[in-house]
Amino acid sequence: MKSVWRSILFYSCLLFQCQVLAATCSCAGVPLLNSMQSGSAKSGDWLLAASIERHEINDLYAGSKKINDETHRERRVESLLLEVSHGITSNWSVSSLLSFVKHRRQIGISEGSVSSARGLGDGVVLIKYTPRRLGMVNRFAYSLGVGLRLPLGENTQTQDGLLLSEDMQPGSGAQGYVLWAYAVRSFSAQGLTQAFAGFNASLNGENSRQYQFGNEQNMNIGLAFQSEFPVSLSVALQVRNSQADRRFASTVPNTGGYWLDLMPVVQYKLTQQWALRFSSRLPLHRKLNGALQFTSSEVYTLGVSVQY
Amino acid sequence: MPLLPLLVALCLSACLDSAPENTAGFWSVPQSEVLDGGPGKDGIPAVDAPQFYQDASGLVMADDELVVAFRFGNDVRAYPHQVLDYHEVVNDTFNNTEVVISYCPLTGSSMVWQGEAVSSNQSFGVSGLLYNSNLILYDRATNSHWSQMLMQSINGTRIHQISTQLVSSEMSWGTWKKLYPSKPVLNFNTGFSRPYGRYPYGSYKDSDATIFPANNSNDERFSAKQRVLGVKVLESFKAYSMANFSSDGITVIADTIGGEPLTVWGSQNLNIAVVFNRLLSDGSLLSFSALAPQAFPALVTDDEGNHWDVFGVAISGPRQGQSLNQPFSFIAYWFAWAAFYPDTQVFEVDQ
Repeated sequence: MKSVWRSILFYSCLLFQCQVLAATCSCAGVPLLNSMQSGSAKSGDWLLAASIERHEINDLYAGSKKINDETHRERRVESLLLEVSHGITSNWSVSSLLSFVKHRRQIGISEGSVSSARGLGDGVVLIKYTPRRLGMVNRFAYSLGVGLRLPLGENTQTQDGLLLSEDMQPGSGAQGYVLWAYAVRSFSAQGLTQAFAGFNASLNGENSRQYQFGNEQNMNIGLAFQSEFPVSLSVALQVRNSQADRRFASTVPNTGGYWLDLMPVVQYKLTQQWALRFSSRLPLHRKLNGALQFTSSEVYTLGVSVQY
Repeated sequence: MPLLPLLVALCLSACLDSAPENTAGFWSVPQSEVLDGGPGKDGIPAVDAPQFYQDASGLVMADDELVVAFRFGNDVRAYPHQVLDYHEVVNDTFNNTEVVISYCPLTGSSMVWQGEAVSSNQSFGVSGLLYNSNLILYDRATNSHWSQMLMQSINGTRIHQISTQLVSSEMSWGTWKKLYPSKPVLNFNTGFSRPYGRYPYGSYKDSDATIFPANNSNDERFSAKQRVLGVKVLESFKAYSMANFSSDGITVIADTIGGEPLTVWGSQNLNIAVVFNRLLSDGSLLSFSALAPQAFPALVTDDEGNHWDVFGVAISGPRQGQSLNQPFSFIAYWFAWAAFYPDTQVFEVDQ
């Protein structure tokens, strides 16, 4: 059975001819909001998307200074994200996201001691309101959304009978609330060049162990380019602010901070309905809370979507 | 269009590979109370090849910073908390004898153990696990887990084995400079890039909050982070708050715990607290009194005229070179001592 999966993996890699990677946020939760498609489905349309994210969390920072990690720690989160969106009316749509998460932590100097956990992660349900859409006349559109973060995933996973730390659990175990907004401005009637801005925020609750992942806010601004060819490109700057995690109502040291990332995206339209999408998150600057904190070093996402 | 199923299959492949083998075995403490602290095994790296400043002049540090002082024969060394905060374990060698210096920043407890000769590798590492918020070490010879504050192996082939505690003392850097200005101090050049001098736990030391759960946390006889000298003799336990000691000199307390006559020496301004047995192996029962700072590094004298240092070694007098026996004892935050030893009696000044 395993060899079948391995074969599928191998041929998938050949097919895509690139690394098959993914991403999450550095709070060790899964980047649910940042991973959702930015648009909103038109009335009656369905959007299905699946993506794989790989997030390497191996950079060691003291404040805003990157320092060497001589422990050769390798921390990785791989996620499968499944998104379904549906346009209910011309203004209202609903999006939902489900995640499957695999955490892995290996300390190189410890003869490769490995901790890992995997399973269903948290989910998000978002209701979006889109009063204006881009068109031949409208050069400006925006959407607003509110939703829930659903604690669908496991957060009591153990290894060798010992409860894994909160950041190694597939799910947060806590309900949360999310806010989402997106605006786009096109510079021509064809909309070949667009400027966009997005914002999302999550307000996280406390789980049964009185642990609360820090609330976070993300803002991005960028440009998107389309052409006569089926390839479109976009690049954005993203600022992320995360408050420190809390346990027993007190701050957990060395969590939270500010991140500035560059986010390039390449999308290839296979057909009128199908599209492939590859994106990355490249660190530009960080200012992290506490004395010492591991944080994102690489984030890659590969996805496919279909709209009908 | 096969891409969507392929992508799903791809992730499932990653998600379904075999789980790590369970090698847990039996724990002598409730397994549900052993927690993953987050960094992982050796994620907090022990210092295995410690280097030393030749003397105190090699290091600039605030006088109120703490160090763990340790004496082995005539060799005296200091290990600053500023380094231990990031490493928790130092594997050091004195005259071919391996010792492990451990410090848990979350419970404020330090201890020095002698390496146990079960193999050529007697060193310890940081397991990344916590019990009652306290450091769990592992020995590299057998991978057995050891609770620092129980001083005992709690899992693995050496389970229930008790380590050998060696006499050490915490003190402020200012005190170290007065007592042992020419003795070596652990160098900040550890082989690891860490922001030594920057306390890694935020406001932890100064607040009552803990990051991880601990038993008996509602024992409020002292505030949670009050540093206490905890003493265990047989099944009797006693705690001395640092506030019990003089802020201008050395307090000497004659006490009895578990039937054993003890002498407790403490000072707020020197930031020391140690306890020794007053009854010597030859049957002599000594009475101790404090010395003036002019006698440093001697802190106390006795009714025979011996002068004793903070490690309980007679540095002058008829018993010069002899050592006092030390019961199981160390300084820790109150919440932690109370978690491990809930039946502890607290020392009160009018006793």
